[in-house]
Amino acid sequence: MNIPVIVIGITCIAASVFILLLWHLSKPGRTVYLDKGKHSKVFRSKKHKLAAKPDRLESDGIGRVIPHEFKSRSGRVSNRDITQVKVATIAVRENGFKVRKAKIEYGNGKVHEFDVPSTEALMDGELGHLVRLARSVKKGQEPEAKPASYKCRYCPYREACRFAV
Amino acid sequence: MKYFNSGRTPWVTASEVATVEICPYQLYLKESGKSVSKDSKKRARRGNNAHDEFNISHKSFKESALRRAIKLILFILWALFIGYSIWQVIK
Repeated sequence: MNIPVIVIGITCIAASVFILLLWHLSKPGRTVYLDKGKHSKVFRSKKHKLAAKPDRLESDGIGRVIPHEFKSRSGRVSNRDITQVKVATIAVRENGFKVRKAKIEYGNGKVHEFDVPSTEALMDGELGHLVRLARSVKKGQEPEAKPASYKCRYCPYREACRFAV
Repeated sequence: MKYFNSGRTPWVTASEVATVEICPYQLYLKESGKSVSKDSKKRARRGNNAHDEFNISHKSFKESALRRAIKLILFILWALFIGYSIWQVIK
């Protein structure tokens, strides 16, 4: 048995696997998760009782993921979209991923990328208030309606709502 | 509606939190079991089609695993060839 040949062979295989793996895992833009429908994983935050399915999670190449939300409509970036992504970020973080940035892509090709604060900062701020409000509504508390023509126009419950304008 | 008048703390989803930012009453109507308008159903279908196209354009890790495995095998064969060439030179 030719030992040097075996040693060189094993070294070459090990080195090539290591180099390829390193290159691949560090490649930014790689899709880590894709929401393909009802059988896709739901990210849950047990601590905050939040659940989310971001449209996509993308690797940033340095050990973090970027939640990527897609909105088919064209138009301006809305606070609602940013809020949705921030909640998804909290759930994704509790599943072991590090998140610092997130992005929203619109149907007209526009991409809005932004930094996401820490989970504590999010829940201590406006987002925490919205989560508590949503929770109280789900418990049956009738909230205040905020009718406005630009909102009611596209509301899916416009016909059922007595406040719609 | 399962959390209405119950003592349990309900889970909320990202889209529900986003909804209350626009209008909390919209979430209340949804939880009350009201039906959505026909226009809204059409918009939802268009949105779902757009999402399907979005998914096609972004392949996930598992789907391209075979391609990666083939690349890995080719790379190993290449590395073995280089190693053999080096050994021949040393010999």
